[in-house]
Amino acid sequence: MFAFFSAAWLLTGACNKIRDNGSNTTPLALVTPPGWPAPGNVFDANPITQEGFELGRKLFYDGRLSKDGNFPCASCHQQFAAFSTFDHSLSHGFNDQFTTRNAPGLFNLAWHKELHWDGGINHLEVQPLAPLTAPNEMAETVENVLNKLRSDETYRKMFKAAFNRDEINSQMMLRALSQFMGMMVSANSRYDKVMRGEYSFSEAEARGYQLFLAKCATCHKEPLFTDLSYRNTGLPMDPVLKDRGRMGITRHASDSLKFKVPSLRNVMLTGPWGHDGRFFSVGQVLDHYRSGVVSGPTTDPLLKDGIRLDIYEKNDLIIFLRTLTDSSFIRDRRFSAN
Amino acid sequence: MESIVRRRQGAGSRAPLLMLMLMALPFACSKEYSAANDTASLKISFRLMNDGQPLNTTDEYVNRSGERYTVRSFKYYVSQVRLLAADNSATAEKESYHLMDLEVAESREFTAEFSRGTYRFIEFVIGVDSARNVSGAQTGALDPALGMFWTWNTGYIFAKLEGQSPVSGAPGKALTYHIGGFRQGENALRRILLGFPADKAVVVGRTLQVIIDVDLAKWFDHAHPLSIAQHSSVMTPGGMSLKIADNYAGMFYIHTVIDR
Repeated sequence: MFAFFSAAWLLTGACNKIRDNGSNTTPLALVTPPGWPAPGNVFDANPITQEGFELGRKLFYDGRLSKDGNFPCASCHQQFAAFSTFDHSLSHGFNDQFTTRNAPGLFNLAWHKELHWDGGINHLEVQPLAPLTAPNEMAETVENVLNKLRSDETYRKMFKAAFNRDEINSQMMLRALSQFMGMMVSANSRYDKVMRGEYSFSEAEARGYQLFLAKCATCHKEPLFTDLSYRNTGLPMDPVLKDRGRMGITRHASDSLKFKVPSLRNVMLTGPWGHDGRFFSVGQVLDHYRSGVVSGPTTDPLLKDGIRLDIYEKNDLIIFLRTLTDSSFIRDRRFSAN
Repeated sequence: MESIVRRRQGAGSRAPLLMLMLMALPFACSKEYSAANDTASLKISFRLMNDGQPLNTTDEYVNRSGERYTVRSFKYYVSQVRLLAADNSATAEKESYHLMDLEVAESREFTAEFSRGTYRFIEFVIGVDSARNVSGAQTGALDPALGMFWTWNTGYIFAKLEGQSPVSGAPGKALTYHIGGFRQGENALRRILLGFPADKAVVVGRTLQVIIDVDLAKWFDHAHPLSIAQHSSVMTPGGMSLKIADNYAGMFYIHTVIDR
């Protein structure tokens, strides 16, 4: 019997060796919160490991990914703001330039099929290429970044640990970043605790939740608080930015002024609000829905007549939205610079 | 591994069982080892030309609309290379993606593995199939660091032509064509089928080389006349990209098949 097992061990060992892609790595599980759908297949070819995750974290916080060293991913994606840019309508990039859209918070990305306000990115792994090479963001080239990483002994060791290969290429860098970002799951807000039966809503929160279900939940669908669709919410186009959103990707006139429905999770941390950060309070956003919707050919049918909310309801809704703040997520040391 | 086996054999009395297990070993991994003798290599080269002259970055060319232009950069993807026999049976190169670059001579020839046999046609695709456009970060010829990738609207640039023309209205008299698109209605993938000369059936297993000529002049006029004055910059999928894709589909000819 012993011989049988040792021979079987030899067999599997031999096969693993051929496919070996990091035999000494520690797998990390992307845990699906209870009641959530399964995440997409973004990690099928890129199994998450402790080593890959840690490498991704180092890359995320490293200014060397930008041309002048000042703009790590984390410069626009700050943990205390749920990985959006705190208090900025538009973020700053290389050479005092503004970005053209409000930096979204980063969490629950494994459940997103497409990324960016216009959905132009179709896979989490290739998302970092956009800010990395944009002249008004990190303004670098992929090759320059790789050369900086290759000349660093620590990175050489960490890439080897994560991918068990003696090289550093763009796929490995992008997959490590993807592992780090994909592990950022935010599902521990007061709302989540209520859903798990650990807390109860206050009366005002409960009223706000009922209003949310009645008036917001179609687009901001639970549990992600977005249905991941693209919609024109009746925001007039900014005359300087001239941003037509989804149409820039699909080139279909029917997609003009449509933007991805943002998650309302951590909404109180991710202001200013709107794809160009034009709203400086959540109250302003709700006022837009109450009375500011501009009806055009692509305005969402659900919003043509705005959303009816009296000021008491508006207040209750805001009180509910506060329960979506996940304070353990923004303090989670796994996602911090260390 | 050898030494472990010997130790086990020496130590135990179950050598026959163990031998049996070890005999199974190669089969357990047979995917990696299979068919080594059924395939052979074929060298395929692309010669970049313009109307019968070798293409370079210094000469000036004239398109059929009478517009002069020079070429600074010319790159395109050749993928899914297959050989077809007279009975339509085919053999395909595995992981078949090649980036051809005017400025890198060695990029324009490669040696591919095919099943042994006698073939009448070569088939390949200009561009990158939709699956690789939606599957995250790729490596090798598909490495996004090679610059044939739209970072803000995910997708590969299938063919890129950059240069200058006195009739261009763009800054620096630039002509800039970045052609791609894999979505429905915007598909710029073009499948090229070329027949080998009647007396030159390609026998994989002999040391042959297929030389394919690429006539850049066709970029401007194969299927649709392309006026630089009217369209000096085409950098998004759909529309003009589809017409240019129809044009570049006509760039390829078998020059010859030679014994190496």
